[in-house]
Amino acid sequence: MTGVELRSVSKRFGKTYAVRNVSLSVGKGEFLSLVGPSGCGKTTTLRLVAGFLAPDEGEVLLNGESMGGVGVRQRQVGIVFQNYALFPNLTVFENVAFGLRTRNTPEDILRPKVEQLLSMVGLDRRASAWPRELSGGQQQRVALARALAITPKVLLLDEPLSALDAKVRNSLRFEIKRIQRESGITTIYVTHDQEEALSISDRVALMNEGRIEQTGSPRDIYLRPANSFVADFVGVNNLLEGEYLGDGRFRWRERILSVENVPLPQGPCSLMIRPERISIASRDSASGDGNILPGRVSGKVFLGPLLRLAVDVEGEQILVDLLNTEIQPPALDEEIRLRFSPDDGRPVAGR
Amino acid sequence: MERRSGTWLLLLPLAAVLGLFLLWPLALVLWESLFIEGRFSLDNYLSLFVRKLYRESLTTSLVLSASTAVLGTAVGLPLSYFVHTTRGRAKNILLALTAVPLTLSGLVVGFAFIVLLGTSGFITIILRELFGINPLEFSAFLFTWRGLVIAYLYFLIPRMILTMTAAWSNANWSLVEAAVSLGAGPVTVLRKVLFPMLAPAILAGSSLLFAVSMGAFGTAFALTGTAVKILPLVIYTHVSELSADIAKADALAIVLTLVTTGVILAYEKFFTSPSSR
Ligand SMILES: Nc1ncnc2c1ncn2[C@@H]1O[C@H](COP(=O)(O)OP(=O)(O)O)[C@@H](O)[C@H]1O
Ligand SMILES: [Mg+2]
Repeated sequence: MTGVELRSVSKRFGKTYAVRNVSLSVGKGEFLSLVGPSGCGKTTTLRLVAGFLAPDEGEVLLNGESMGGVGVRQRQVGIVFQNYALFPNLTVFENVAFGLRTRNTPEDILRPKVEQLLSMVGLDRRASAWPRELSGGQQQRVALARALAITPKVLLLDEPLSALDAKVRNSLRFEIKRIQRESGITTIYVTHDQEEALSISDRVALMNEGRIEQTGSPRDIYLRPANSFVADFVGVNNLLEGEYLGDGRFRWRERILSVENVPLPQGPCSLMIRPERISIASRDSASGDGNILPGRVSGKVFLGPLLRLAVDVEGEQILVDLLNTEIQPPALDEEIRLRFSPDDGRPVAGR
Repeated sequence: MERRSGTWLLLLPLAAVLGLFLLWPLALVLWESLFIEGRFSLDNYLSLFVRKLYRESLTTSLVLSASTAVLGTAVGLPLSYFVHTTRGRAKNILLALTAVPLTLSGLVVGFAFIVLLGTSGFITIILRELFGINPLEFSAFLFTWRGLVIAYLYFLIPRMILTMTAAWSNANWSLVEAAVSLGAGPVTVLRKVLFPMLAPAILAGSSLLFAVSMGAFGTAFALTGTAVKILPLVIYTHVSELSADIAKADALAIVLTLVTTGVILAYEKFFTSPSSR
């Protein structure tokens, strides 16, 4: 059974579509990330699920039931906001207890439940603190406990880590994942950070301009992006604009490159080559079955385990990641020959 | 250290203006109020508590100001929300209209009320023609302190609206959304989220309303002459009439100042201290 389902949902503000014909289903207990650039409609989608907005077209279902005409109050969704949104006039304990009190939960059930939630997020000793006395990361944990207290049908998180600094962000990310796995609650996690999305989700839906471009496992999205937008969004990629000639052949400028044989129609598209799949060919080696691109080193960035080169090939900048164990990395302005094998060049739709 | 003295230098012009036009006159008033026929005495102040006129005028002023503060808040609050939710041009027009009563002299406001609701006022006449009311009975109300409450509200409600529109736009609506998603109904949202969130602004607004009506003079003067005994009018009679008693007027002015600044200070103390929540 699906936890959340969107059926051809659209939402307009004035004349412009914020969400356009989106269909999406999230399995019960699944962790799905909605990722995409700012303004692509992620928050709007989340608010449609929560019930703060009603779709202009289409339908939202929770646990198989249509939510048409069902208000936010009745939907039983847990929401975590970017700015924590803790009630400043209530203690940590009372914040977490809020949803139980509105449901008139008896004190002898409420108290142990709140305490259990607080210890789950590691804040059992701050129960009587005021929100303002906590760090941002701690406040967001309280917000998470508060949202989970009502045993929601779905947990909705809207960029919950964006306001935190990098270190807290990374640790809290995995804690959210752990808590979600333990509680088994269907979760939609909104973020604009592809790395965050790929690292914690069961499945990722990538949005652009109100539409979903691709849905799939993080591995799928990373290895087999459906088009150049996805390829560009998920990680550093070289995208060469050219023409697919069919049969594993790709025309780029004056060259014919041998690439992966994909079921794409012939015609204009982009060739995706990951920086770490490109190597430097020795000066006089034969090309073998690989492709050779001669170029000039135009930049070098030290990235810890990696050395990233920017190589100018006929005016196009191509990124190359080398392991930093290379004995002698090429010098700046040195003329080199880049090599990549046909399996590592993947034509993707769009340019 | 250097930065600090620089800051002080920048404050100098402000300090000079405040000193010259606020503190110095106030000091003069205080000084004068402490002498009777050249001798130091607190009698001016003691008489304020003894003489019926003064006791009554202080009470009337306090009751009048408290009523206008409460009513102005009660009416201004929903109106300010309405203004806040209005969009585009309509909002600008509403805000401009709200500002108009603030620019009018109190005397103008007073006369406007006489023209509308006085014994031969516009509305009074219409009501007489329609319902046969007695104009004298109807407008007698206008010249009592209760009538003043109505007239004061005319320029106090806009003050409340302006104070609150700022508060509405700074409001954190995620709190309301969080509460609703947790199952809170309108009453709970109002009681546990909106009221605590807006309380500081509401109190700031109502203490402003209180302070303004304590000191308002023109409207009361235009409507009632000096018939209604409120502090500003009593001070006026003491400086203007034949029986002038400047020292008494000074003492009254000091009391008036103390009450208004007291209200403002109490507000500051309760709601802007760092430990407040
Ligand atoms: N209440 C609103 N009124 C008008 N336009 C809106 C409103 N909310 C969002 N939009 C527009 O809808 C689009 C999607 O917004 P949003 O869902 O907030 O994007 P995201 O969360 O992905 O950054 C944006 O172009 C935004 O300007
Ligand atoms: Mg957003």
